[in-house]
Amino acid sequence: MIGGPARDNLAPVSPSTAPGLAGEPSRVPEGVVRACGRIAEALFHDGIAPPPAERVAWLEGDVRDFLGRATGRARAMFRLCVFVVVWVGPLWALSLPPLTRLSVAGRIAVLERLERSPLGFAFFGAKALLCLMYYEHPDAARELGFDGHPAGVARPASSLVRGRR
Amino acid sequence: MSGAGSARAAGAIHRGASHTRDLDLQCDVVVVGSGAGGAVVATELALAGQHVIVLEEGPHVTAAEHGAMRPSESIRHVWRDAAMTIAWPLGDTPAINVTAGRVVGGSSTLTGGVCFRVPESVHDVWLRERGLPSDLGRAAMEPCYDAVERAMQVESVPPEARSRGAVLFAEGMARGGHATHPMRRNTHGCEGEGRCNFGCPHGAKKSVDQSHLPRALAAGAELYADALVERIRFEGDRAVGVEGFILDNPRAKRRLRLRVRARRVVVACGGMHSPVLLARSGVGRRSGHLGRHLTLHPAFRMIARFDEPVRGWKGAMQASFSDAFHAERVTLTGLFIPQGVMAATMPGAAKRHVERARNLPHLAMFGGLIHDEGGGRLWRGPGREPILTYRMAREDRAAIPVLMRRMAEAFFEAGARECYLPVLGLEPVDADGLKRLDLGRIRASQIECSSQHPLGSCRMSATPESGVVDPEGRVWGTRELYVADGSVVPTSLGVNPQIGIMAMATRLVWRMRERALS
Repeated sequence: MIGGPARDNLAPVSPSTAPGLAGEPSRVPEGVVRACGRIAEALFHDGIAPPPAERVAWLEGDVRDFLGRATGRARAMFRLCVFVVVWVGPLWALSLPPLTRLSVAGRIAVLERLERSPLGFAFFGAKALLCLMYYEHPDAARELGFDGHPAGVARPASSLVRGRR
Repeated sequence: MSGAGSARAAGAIHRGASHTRDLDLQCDVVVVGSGAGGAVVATELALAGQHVIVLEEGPHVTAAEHGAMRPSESIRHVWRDAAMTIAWPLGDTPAINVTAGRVVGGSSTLTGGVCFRVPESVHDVWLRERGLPSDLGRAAMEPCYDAVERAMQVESVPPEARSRGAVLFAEGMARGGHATHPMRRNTHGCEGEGRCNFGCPHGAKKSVDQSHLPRALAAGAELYADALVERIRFEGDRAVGVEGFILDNPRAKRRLRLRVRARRVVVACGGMHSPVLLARSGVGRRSGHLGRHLTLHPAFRMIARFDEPVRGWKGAMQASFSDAFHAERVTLTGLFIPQGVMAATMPGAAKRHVERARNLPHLAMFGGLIHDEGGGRLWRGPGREPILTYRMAREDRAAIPVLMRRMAEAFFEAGARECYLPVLGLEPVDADGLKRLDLGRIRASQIECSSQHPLGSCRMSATPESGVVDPEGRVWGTRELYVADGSVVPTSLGVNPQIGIMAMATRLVWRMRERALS
């Protein structure tokens, strides 16, 4: 059989709902999480309004979970990307860092310039992860026109069974 | 310990969280890594009656659990380094995002199911230029390929399983006079959900956690998940076991000590980690080849926007391929990626980005990889993860614009309005724009590039001076220590390596079985 059944509605997905592959995530510096939220407000601004605050908060929660479960090097890599965007990016657009203190319009201008700069790879690192998570939100996925497998909603009733199988 | 030929009770998978005290185990053969190479070795040896223990650093995740995870959850739980490993560029080279699995089944669990046999021309290079024995030739290895493909239920993707994007690309290729072919994949009952890279939610992809490891367990093998091996133990030049830790995953915090005494040790940690384990254990360095010659198959995507709805996520993820440009060092394969990553490739921010991302249902995608020369190198980093560097050969760098142009031309032949090239920040181009664009002048630092195939870092060689393992897979200068994974591949393959790795592991284990355990 080719093609799964079409889903009219994507069920709500809350962050941090991965099966019990591990315990609680580690603490993550809130500054990094908030910076991701400020980047998201600019990146996903549709020209009329920034994304709903509820969705940005959801994304921040998922960033917190992602980094809280990532290995040390992965956290360092992502934080490096965010650092470049927040502290070096504005210089590229002749603005004063940090990016988080700029207006939404100022942040958008920085991101546009940064993407085309030699530091574009660092921006792409942050953008890829933020897009991946942001567009997993059912409303964001719906806005894209995505009607594929709503990953994360078919969660088994029992989480991972720990111990000997 | 038990010898070959004795029957064993069914083994089990042990998760890290189930242990409450340090582990001290014994077996005939300990296999480090449960991916494409390790699973084959473990299965064949267990079926031969040997007591096998498989140690896997990553967690055990069932098909249902794979399906229950969003892609980003999969990345944080079962992808190595949360998919943030970079091969740092040297010279005129793009930065390359190298991804691999860290889960029971290894990267096999996260492939698109693509199954290529190693091209005959590559086998010929191994014999002619590397001086390897004739049983590494394509004809001699046919029984190995046959055995692997049988076990993995390799089948050609039927035409009706192709995504609309793959159909359009094939039409464009045909108008340009080039053929595409149905992909052979290790699937049975694929429902075409387009999310193979995050673990098949139905178990329809016959990755080694489906095709091999259950047979190994049924034959008595024991599999320890969340078990990190940090060192191989030796008595003189003879490997006698391994030691490491039981981890709290996914953050990989050490929890309990682990020690396994074995009569034979098989390292199968993959192209990025086998050399690290050997180096940490003080072996394999004498030749100067350990961690060198890393090939990556640098890969690039092309996205095209059509007027018609494409909905590229419907259908088998990698349903077709083209070898029309092999002479130009390029293999093209069908591809699709999660909606969020697809959106991330849309240039710009805010309105420019959002409007383009909302074209998602109209976007088709294809991918291409370069049959590279192997300018990669692994260095020991401050933690347990290696640092990768990669210097792209001039011929490989020259193939990037060729690859981009070929893919974009095919999409335009099929009626695409515009193409999004894998260049950071570059506006999409139409057919005329592509003709005007000097792709050779695009800076390497602007090019998006990824790799899923780290190979060759413990390469097999005919002499101790030219590689790390001998033609039997034994680490030169040691006894009872083998390597059986993508790291032993003698050269770049130019095609997805899963079947090649497994066929080489099959050849190795068939011969290993003939050598009595001492």
